[in-house]
Amino acid sequence: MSNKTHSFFDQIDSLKGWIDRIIEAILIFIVAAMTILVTYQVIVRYFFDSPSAVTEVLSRYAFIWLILIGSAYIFGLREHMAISFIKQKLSPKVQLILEMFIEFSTALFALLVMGIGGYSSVIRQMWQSDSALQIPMGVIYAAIPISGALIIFYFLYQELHLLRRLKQLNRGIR
Amino acid sequence: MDAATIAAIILFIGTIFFLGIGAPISISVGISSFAAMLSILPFQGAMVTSAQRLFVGLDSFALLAIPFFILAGNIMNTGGIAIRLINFSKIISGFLPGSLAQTTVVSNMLFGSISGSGVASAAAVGGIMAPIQKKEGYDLTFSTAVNIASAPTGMLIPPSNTLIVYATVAGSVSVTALFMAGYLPGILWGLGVMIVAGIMAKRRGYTATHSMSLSECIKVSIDAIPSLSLIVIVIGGILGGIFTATEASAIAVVYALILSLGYRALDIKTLPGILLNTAKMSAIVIFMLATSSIMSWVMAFTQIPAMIADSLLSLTNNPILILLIINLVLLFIGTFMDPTPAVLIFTPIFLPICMNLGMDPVQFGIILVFNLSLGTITPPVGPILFTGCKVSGISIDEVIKTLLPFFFVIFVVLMLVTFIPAISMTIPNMMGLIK
Repeated sequence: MSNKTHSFFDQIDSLKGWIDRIIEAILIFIVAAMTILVTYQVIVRYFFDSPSAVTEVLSRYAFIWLILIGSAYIFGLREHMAISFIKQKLSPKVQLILEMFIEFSTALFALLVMGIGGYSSVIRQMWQSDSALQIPMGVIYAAIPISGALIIFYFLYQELHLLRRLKQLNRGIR
Repeated sequence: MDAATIAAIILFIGTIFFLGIGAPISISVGISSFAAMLSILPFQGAMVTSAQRLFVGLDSFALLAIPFFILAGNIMNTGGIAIRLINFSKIISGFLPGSLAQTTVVSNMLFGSISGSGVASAAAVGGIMAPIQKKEGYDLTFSTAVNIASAPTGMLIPPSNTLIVYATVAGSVSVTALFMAGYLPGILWGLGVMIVAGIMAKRRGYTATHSMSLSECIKVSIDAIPSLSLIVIVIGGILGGIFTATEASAIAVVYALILSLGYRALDIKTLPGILLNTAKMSAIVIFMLATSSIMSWVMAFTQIPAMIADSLLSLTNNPILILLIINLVLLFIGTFMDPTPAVLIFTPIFLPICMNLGMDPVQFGIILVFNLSLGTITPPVGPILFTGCKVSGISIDEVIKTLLPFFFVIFVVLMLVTFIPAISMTIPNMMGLIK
């Protein structure tokens, strides 16, 4: 029995590891690409006197993806800025339960606003094309529901681990 | 109760509740704003509008400057630039009482003028200066206090990421004008710290000076020219209209990269790690901006700023008192909240009130960031206070008493900046940046 749950946790952990690695590669690529795009924009305009609308738009959209995918990744690492000095004064068990509630609230936001609301926005924006790049705006908006889905995945991962810690804590007290 | 009041109450209580239990600030603001919106719009409409506000909050070319300045700062931290700036600072401050402490202040101001982050500055300058000062017999609490007190000047002296965030929230405020307005207040803050450090150093008997010979001065200056050129390129480029603040920040990245590779202080293999770290730091800061854009929708709908303005004006209509109250509220908020979320939440509330008093939004931005920068060196939540203590290896309790006189002088400068508009407005006015 315990062997089985162990392998389940291992599988979840390795899946999270894979998703983390993929996101990391995407984030590194986007930051590098943004730097190159904007530098190229300055060079082309300043030295060749031919302003480029494409680089500005492209780098702006890359930035939106960077922030949305990046913040999902940060939720996975639990490194988002919070005011935690009150929470730290509480007992470990209350802290754990609060953590679970906070994770749940985060997932609720990710599901309703980013998932469902974001998906509806994507569908609506599929009819509109960007004037500089000629791609549907919905493609750019897709970062919102994708980020929402990733946040929900990380939520499931965190809740599983928090539940296990809570069980261990209960067993330890008794 | 009408819908607007109910929405305002949901937003207010929800945000305080989630912040209090330690939820991420972005989620605290986002989910409370969404809940408030549910009392105004139908369910489906609220979900779609909130998602679109996320997008709108992020869709700005000006914001790209933030990851770029963070990246440039991360490269410079590893890049041997800090030590050259510190050596150069000794020319300016080496002959003053407590010369090593004075050098710390000048270095922090110089570092801040190329990096834009007070935390990076405290880590880089404190990390180098603390051991040198210890060797010369400076008390560690004193050297740490000086580093902590002077590191936030980088948030006022341009480039400043906090000022970019403010410009985005405030609407039609020019980043260039804000950058220029930040110089004098930032320098005054630094000078205030230098005066206190000088008096304390004399009392403690740290009187050894570090005057350099002319040839040394020249050598150190030439060494620092490539690093100092970064200031000229970034600020000169923006002012000269050669490029926007965002483009300048990208150029700063490329320049810092070339410099650090040239100094052989940066291993190219560490670059992916630096890029990832930049992505993380940017996402943390800017995701808050995205969710707070839902809040600004609710605020605009419910007229919360007008409500607060009314209740403030019913207390007093003395502009001096109102400004004092706003300062105290911001100082209080700054003690436990980081500058960026505080700017996002309090700009829409206080900016209209101050503009009604006839204040220029540029000056308000400086007052706002000044207050919140002071909060970065106060407990319970002070990122620069924590960083400064960490690099020196001492506890916060040990340094607080030594910091008190610095708090006092910085507060005096804050009052000057609040009540004398010329301190902020003279440079941008001279450059014709204010309409």
